[in-house]
Amino acid sequence: MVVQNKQANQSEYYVLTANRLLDGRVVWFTSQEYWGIMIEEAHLFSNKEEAEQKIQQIIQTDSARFLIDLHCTEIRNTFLPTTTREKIRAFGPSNHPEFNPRSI
Amino acid sequence: MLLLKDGEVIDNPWVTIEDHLPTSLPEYPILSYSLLSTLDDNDKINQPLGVLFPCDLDIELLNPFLKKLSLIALIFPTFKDGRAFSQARQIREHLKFTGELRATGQVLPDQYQFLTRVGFTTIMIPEITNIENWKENHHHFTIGFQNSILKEARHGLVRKL
Amino acid sequence: MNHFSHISDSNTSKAIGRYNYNDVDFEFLTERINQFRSQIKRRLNGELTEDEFKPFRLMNGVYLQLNSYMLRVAIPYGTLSSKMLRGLAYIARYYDRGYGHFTTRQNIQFHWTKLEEVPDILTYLASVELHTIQTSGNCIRNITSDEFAGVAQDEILDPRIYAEIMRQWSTLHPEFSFLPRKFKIAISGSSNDRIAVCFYDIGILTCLNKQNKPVFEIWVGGGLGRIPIKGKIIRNDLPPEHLLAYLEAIIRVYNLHGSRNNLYKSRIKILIENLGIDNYREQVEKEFQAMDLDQYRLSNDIMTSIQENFGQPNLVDVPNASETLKKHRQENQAFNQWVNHNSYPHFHKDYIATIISLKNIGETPGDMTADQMDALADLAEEYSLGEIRVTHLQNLVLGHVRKDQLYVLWQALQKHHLAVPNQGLITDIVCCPGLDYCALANARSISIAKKIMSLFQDIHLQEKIGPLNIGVDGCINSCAHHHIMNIGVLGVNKKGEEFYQIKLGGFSYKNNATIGSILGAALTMEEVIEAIRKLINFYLEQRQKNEYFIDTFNRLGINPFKEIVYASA
Repeated sequence: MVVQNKQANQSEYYVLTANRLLDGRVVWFTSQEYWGIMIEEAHLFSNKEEAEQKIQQIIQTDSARFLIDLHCTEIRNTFLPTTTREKIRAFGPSNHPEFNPRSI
Repeated sequence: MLLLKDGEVIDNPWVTIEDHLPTSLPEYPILSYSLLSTLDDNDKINQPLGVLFPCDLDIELLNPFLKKLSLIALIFPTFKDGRAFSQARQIREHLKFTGELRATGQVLPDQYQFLTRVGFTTIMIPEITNIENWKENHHHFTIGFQNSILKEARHGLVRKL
Repeated sequence: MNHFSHISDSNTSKAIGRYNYNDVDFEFLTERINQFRSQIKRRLNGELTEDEFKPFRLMNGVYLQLNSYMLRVAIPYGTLSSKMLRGLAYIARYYDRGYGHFTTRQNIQFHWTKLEEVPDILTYLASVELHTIQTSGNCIRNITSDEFAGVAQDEILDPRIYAEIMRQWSTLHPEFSFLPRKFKIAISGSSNDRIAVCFYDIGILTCLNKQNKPVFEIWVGGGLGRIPIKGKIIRNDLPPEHLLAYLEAIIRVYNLHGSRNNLYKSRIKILIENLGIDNYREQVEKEFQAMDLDQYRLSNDIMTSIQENFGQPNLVDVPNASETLKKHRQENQAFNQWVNHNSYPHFHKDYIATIISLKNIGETPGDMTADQMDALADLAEEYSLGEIRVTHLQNLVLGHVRKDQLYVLWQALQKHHLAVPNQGLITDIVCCPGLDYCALANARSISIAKKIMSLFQDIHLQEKIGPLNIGVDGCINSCAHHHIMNIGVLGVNKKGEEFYQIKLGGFSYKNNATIGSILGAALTMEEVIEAIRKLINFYLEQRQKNEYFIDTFNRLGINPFKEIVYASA
């Protein structure tokens, strides 16, 4: 997996993510307004304000009850989060590459 | 707010007075501790009296007023702030207070047996609460492992609640 | 059901070294699990907010980590039976991903559980006499003890009896379940410190008084975390019968006066720093004197009621056991090497304790697979009276191995990669889960530990370096004790990227207990590995006869080590 931070001069986006209340899995907010398992499914917000506005909207809905730690995070347009923390949320722990959501 | 005792909602005749002392007291007044401590001669008061005592003061301060007090209300600023559990214990065990000990502020049904076991007898709860949760939690556990104000029957470390 | 009807039958075989549950204990766990089930239900139907639910799930050992829910199971005073270890294997295999992670507090963590399955897991755990109660939250946590309890030659009393008393007493304590912050207690039945007594909220050692009676030496206010502090002795002559009263007095003063508004100042260590130990002691003594001590006294009846539920090891004299072991050691060099590093003397001349290292090169420190758990459970049954201990350094111990059987045991352990001969050496690294799992972490720690282990994997090099401990922490909480390890590595976060700080000169145990000193500016992952290589090389060059790393460091001071790492950079 890729966890080294890259010196990026690519454009930045924001995505919404959370953990599911029932099983704790990491999920990403998609353009079709469902919560997907893979970061590649995530809807791209072009700025932070827009992403945070959406969070406020989601909090008002019933689906918010089944999410924990709903937040937005910055990614590169290659669907690579900026921080190591979010990379691990997206791709699983680095000591178990087989736990990458793609392989589960 | 509702008043709960032994898992049931009961009438609350007490009126809390926090800001300043009215010229005549209601029949069942609970004075904030700061008001109580300004009474220069509390012997003149010849009626039931309660106090609302903050969680950051030493319960020894209640000593001079004990004979006059029928009720002591303690405060949980949030359900996670457990200072009043220790205050209650001290009020029962060290001050030997036998009147009503009331929990106010934010407490959750899941804490009910903790409250009664440290000596609380009544609890103020919000009206919108699910009373069934309180009833269920009032007797949920039948086993405990500590000394308690309720002096439950014991065998070794085990108490039958 | 009559809760007091259980009459223990001393003829039934009880698991040794630990309290065996009776009907009352099972009934209590059922009530607890039912309560958590209903709390989950209320969380799902919206009656409880996440903020209200969180303290309850934490007090049942359920954390939300980065990728999943983690479940932390208590192993009270570190003792497992073979049946319990098989139970843990079952959880790992059917509710998790085939492994568990042993922590530094005699707990095991499962990193991939589902909230909706937790009540079922708890029910299964209860059937093997395990629980997750108070493995997290602002309450009294799992009571830990000396991994050589009931084995060590210097033991004055068996600390596990008192640890079990404290376990029961602290379970759902009505007064102390909403403390300012978490509260950790450790106890040893010896006066020699094997538990890092000065770094607990309360640490307890046992001494003999002038009348030759056992008394407790009680340390308070120690801890690691953001502000590492060495504890102080609050009382050195506490009669064991007053243990619970004295603990209540200490914790009551803390519950009333500990900081409630600043997370970083809410541990008892900060309160004691602020008040001074003498002032704190005065308040505790005042409270203690006011208590009805008879109500708290650990009478002979109470002691007996706990003790009789402990299975006792049946140790037998074995003709020529020592000679047989000696012969095996002469015949097999690898075995001899393992015995050199991974054994500990037993009070019985024909027995020996052995340390099962969970620090395999290339593997995650402290991790154990379900298959290994099952295998070790079988081996413990065959060779160590069905008992396994968990150490505070993420290893396991088989406490009662016959000396003449040690060689056969070693051969069997090897098959399961459980015979790594590195206990106490540089690759026996203590390591928290770090940012690969933990929501609190700033940086990964497992990768660092694995790189260091692989750098020093040559056992001859490890032996040449000699006793040396390393702790790798992913955040300042310091679960891996980096502050008090000879070499500590701390992960820090700089704008989302991982950096690491090095500490040198820490020491965990009473007589020389020391909090390490920061070596210099934080380094990248690659730089920190290189720095450790240089530090070790420098030590090997500079060491004088018989010196360990810590001795050389103490003799030279930090500056030459700093020079070595930073000068040429």
